Amino acid sequence: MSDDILKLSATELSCAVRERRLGALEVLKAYIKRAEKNKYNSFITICSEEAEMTASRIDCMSKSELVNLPLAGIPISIKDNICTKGIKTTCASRMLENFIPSYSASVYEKILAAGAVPIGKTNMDEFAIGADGTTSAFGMTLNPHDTERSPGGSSSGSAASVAAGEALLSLGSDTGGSARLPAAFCGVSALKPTYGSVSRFGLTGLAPSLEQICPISRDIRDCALLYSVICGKDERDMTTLYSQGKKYGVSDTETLKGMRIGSIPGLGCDKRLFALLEESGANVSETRLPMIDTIPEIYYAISSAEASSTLARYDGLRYGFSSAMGTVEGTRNEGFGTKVKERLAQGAYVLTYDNGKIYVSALEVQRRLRKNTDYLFEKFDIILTPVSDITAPSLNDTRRIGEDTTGSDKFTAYANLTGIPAVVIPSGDKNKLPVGIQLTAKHGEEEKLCRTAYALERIFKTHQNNIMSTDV
Amino acid sequence: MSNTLYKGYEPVIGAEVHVELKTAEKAFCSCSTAYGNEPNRNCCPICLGMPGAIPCLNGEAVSLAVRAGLALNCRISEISYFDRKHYFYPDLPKGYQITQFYSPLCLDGYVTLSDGEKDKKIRIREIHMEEDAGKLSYSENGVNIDNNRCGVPLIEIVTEPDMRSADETMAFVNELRSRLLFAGVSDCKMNEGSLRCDVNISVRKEGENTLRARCEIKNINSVNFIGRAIESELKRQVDIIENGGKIECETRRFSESSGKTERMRSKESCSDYRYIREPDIPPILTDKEYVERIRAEMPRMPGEIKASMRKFGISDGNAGIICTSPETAAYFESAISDKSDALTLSNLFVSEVFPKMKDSKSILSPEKLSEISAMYSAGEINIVSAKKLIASVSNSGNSPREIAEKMNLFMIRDAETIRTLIIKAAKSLPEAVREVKKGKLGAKKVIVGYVMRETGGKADPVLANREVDRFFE
Repeated sequence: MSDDILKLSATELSCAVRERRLGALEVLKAYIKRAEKNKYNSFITICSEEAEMTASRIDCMSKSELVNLPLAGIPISIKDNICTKGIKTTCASRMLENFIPSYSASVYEKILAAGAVPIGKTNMDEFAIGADGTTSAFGMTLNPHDTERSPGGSSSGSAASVAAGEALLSLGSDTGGSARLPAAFCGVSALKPTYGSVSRFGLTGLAPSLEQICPISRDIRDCALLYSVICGKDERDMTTLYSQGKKYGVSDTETLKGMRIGSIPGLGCDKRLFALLEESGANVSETRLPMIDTIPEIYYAISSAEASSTLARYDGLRYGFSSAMGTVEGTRNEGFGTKVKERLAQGAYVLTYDNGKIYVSALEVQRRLRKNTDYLFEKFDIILTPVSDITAPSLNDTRRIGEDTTGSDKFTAYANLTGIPAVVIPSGDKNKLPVGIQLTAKHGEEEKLCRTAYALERIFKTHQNNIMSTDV
Repeated sequence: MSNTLYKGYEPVIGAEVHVELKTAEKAFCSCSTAYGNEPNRNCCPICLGMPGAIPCLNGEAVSLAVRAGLALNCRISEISYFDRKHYFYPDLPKGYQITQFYSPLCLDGYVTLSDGEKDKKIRIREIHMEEDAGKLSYSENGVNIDNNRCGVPLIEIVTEPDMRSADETMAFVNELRSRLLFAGVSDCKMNEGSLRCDVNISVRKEGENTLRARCEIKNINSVNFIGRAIESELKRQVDIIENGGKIECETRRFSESSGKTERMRSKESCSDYRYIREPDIPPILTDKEYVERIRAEMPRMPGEIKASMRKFGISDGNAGIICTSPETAAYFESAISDKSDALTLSNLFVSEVFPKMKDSKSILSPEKLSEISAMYSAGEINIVSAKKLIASVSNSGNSPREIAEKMNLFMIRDAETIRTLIIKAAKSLPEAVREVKKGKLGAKKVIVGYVMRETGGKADPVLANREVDRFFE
């Protein structure tokens, strides 16, 4: 029975719990058993007791109460940079090793209210700085597909926990690809919503102008389900937008009729994919992303500048780690890992060199990039891009992505710099390692994005491994 | 206004004034802004800069800042942004202050100072919004941090270097303070730190047009000290120059005990603030419609009130006292009516009511003051009775007229009564009567004086004089 439970999607499982065909506790048991083993070091904190209580409460509910819980009984893992009242929130850093927030992120309140069962806080790159899951102060996360390899980062534990069946859904965060890259490396799906569509209140910030909290799940329908719960205006986050109260569900009968799909060169797709998309009613043509080669530089400038600012608060005077040396310098030197300190130095450089000219001109280029992107999406509904140039790298070789200056994250960072929504879904594998594909749309078009991703998902499932060429 | 020259040098002065906005809640969270609470009571994760607790702008702070801009004749930017200013200090929980560096809310204003003869414009370069930091105190156990003030909304008003003397600077701060008080922007209490003034001073030879190196004197906490700080800094800088020295750009403080300024730090060593756009707060949109709505609600500024006082014939001295605070001005303005003349009213207000308003004793309503003043103007009571009435009415529910009746304060205006008294006087003072009959008309005053004494000063003096004249015809 437990194996059957593991096979159900969130959409199916919450339905079963609402209809009392399954108990929340029963569901939890199937997952928590695996989470507690923590085979891939996906978790920093596992909340077995709290989860059991939450599940029991759901099981005590009447059917009429359950009807209103879109996530009834769903075991969910949460990236450890999302504040959870009364539960340690470490950001995988020594700096916040024992930090227990007295408040919850808005998304956490929303998923609890929707009936989800949080089972633990997931491992990540320290303060979400990193792309391989290795910079955590609590040990690196392993890729469930190959434990010798990186799961990608920074939401390493979120993607790994979903891929390993330790959680059915996960909340990650994405500043430049931090949810989408690990999703691709672990063979799961992730949705980076339009900037401002999900509240960031309670998300321990890295680069607030770029990041969003992201659903990670096994398939795109579940991403859409979780997204529909967490999106919307929040009075505690001024950057949130009013959503029109759309339902983001994806139905089985999605067609791509009239959808204008652009594909960028180097996608690594067989021409057959385009043929199949056209068969479903879409118009596919090749295009290019505007100013794509400037992205690594402006991303680097803006994200490191904001990171050095947002992380300035950790001085050990009010909360968190405090050095025995009794100085702010000592606290920051001992509390932060190497990678974080590197990023802080970069940020300080960007803001200091030539009176901050690097930062100011990066903002200017970003403004132009946004304008050009608006033009691009006048011609296309959806643009397909690769996620990364590589598959999950060997843990002995992670320096390659960790130190990435070649811009293999330019396709993901593109969506953060422009604020547009993007999803990553598995498109097949290469050398037995998962490969993902990214779809982007214009601001606020999550629904279109999810519908297209769903149609693609079905194509990939039906034609497994025959679509993507092997020379990605 | 006259320049104060010292050995042929004139000071060039600009001011940066921090003013706490009078909001109930802090700038970016809903904590109270109350002054004087137990340390670290008015705090929450947002103003303590806890991880993930992001700011949410208090709209009331924006509207008060716009009011300040309008009170100082500024142009209000239709769009402005917040920025982060970075530095490490124990009283700054986030490691940065949220402020407006690149695009302030209000620009290009001015304040006009008038000494009765000449007007002088002091230009306001900008007004930007920002948050206050906490407070540090030092004890045997080390440094204590009180975060209650963290996140209290401030505006910083920056002038051009337009002031040329200590007096002018003091007049500017007084004018600024009074305008902000009237606009309801702040309570402007320098002793509680809700108005704090930094002054930039350089000196130059009379007639020079360029600016020399300047020093900033930080956090002077009374208008009087601003004057003393400027005087002493002017002397210090001139003496250095005269002795062949060079002025170093530095930040100084004013020592109240020595009456001199002291060096705090060099300007050159000032940290680099690494400004960035505040990504958690979207641009503030203060469009025309919004600004006009606030402009329509703006109360009159003290200058305008004084001008209208002048029209009533009220002296500048009285007008100044009437405009001490929005409360005193409002009181006086609601006391003005058609029945009493404004000049009389202003004299009564300044001598009898205003002194009591200071220590917030219970005072009579403006309507009652107006009625008493009207009674005096109409000759129904004399000035002594008017003063007596003001003192008695304040503690009573009865109308001034009823009380005047009860206290027998009305003038005697009955000619028969007066004539009877004159006859009585003539009998008691035959000498005076003889004098008058001899032609010494001045002796009539003795008769009038008798009548006044007999009536306890309440005989209508005009009537008494007329009847005495008649008596001798």
